[in-house]
Amino acid sequence: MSLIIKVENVSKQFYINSLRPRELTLGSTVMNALKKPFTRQPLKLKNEVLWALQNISFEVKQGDTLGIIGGNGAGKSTLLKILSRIIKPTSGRVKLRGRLGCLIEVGTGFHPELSGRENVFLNGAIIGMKNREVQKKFDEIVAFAEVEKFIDTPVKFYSSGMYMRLAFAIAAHLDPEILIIDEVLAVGDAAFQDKCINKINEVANEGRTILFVSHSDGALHRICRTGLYLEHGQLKNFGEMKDVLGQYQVDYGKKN
Amino acid sequence: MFTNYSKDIHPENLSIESDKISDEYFSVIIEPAGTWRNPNWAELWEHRELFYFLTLRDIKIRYKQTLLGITWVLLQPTISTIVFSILFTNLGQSKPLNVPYPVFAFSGFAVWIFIAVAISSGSSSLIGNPNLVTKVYFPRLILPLSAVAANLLDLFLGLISLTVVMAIYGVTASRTLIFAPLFLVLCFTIATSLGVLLSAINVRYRDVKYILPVVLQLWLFVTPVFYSLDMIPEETRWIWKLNPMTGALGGFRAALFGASFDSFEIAVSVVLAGVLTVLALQIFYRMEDSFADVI
Repeated sequence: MSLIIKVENVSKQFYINSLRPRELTLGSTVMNALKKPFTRQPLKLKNEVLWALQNISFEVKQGDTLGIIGGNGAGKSTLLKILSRIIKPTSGRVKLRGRLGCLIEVGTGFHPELSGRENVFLNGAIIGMKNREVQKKFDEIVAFAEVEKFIDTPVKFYSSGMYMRLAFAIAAHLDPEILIIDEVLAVGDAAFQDKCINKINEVANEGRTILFVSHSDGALHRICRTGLYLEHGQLKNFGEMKDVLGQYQVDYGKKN
Repeated sequence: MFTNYSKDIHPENLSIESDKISDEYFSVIIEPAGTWRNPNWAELWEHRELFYFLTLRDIKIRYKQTLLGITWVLLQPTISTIVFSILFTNLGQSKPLNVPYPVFAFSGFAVWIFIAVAISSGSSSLIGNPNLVTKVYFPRLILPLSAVAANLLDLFLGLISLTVVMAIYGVTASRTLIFAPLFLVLCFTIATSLGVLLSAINVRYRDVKYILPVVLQLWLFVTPVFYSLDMIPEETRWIWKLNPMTGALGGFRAALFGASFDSFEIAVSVVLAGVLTVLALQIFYRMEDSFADVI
């Protein structure tokens, strides 16, 4: 199988500008000014540096399904955002082959005043579908979302369930060579969540390459063959899903 | 139970033969932010449908939940024209460019209001759509471009009402009318480049939001929109002509009403519009890489 993603020594640094808490209140600033009227009291910006990712390297082959796991703040979202070109790495390079679809959030760009129909076309274009493609799949999308009756109603009148179902339905019908999915995609009640996971699985079985971020062991087991384990921005393990997940569970168990 | 893993991952061991694969094999290479670069026109063209749908969205939602709807497009220049007509008839300037003052003023406001609204909607196009910037990738330039383009409908409707106003006052367009679109393109270029430039600066410095309305107001007063350049003393007229909008609007009116073209003011306008466009694109692309980090 051929190489489709190559990540080379990728690091990402964030600056966290924070005012020193002491200087944040008006009272203390005034008091300091009164005590030492002739010294300047600059608002000090502390440039704290946070390495969200450090020297991450891995490769993904065509048709592979990669699950990315790690605790909060491990760098999962940062990695997804770099791969989907939303943010740039601080150093290192990523090389991709083929069309990449990125579903970090469902319903990006949905406008409450527009009808379901209008939003399908708008959101389709935003996530990278061709107009022709959306037209072809329109009925399928609406049927999947189960909102046939309300398709010409502004989405501000939708229940949150309807809204999320329509948003996911559009996303589910995007079919690029590489698909990046954040777990928040699995939305709605248990039945619809199952439908979502099945749909992702279906896409995976078509031989597409999938990168999937999740905390759900069940979903990871069902969808992903390979696992990538991040901790504090560093690559902790990369290999067979069951091994990686095993290690994650051991680590997680230890901490609790 | 789960012991079959190595604690230290060496990326080198993972690459099989991939180091031999050249960069041409890949379709996308993601590199750290930095270097000056030119717009990727091919990529922009690929996203033309997104541009179309975003423009359509902006047009559709602009006057949602307003009582008067699209009528606002016509009311804005009309109200300004009436106010300044009352003011200026009393001041005695009645026939600039040999047309009745209301026709003259309306032709100015129809274009000016388009420019002002296009610049301000362009400037807020990125900060107004944070989700589109942080959750999905597409060439960011699409956002200010579509925000500005959505105002073309207003310009179009403004021009139609201008023909009505001209008919009411019995003013017929000159034969040089065929040049008028060129000057509208010039106006559009100025509005677009400023919209693009300010949208990028606005991401980092929200001050733009507060300064822009003031600057647009002042700009209106130093541009011959509701007065003609003839009212300005001849010695200082050249200063007015350094304003790119003077030539763009002056050329449009000259074409419309058959007055003589002022080649100096038009040349200044064309050159400045070109400089602005290059500058705006360069600054936009320079700042683009950090949009998602700081928005």
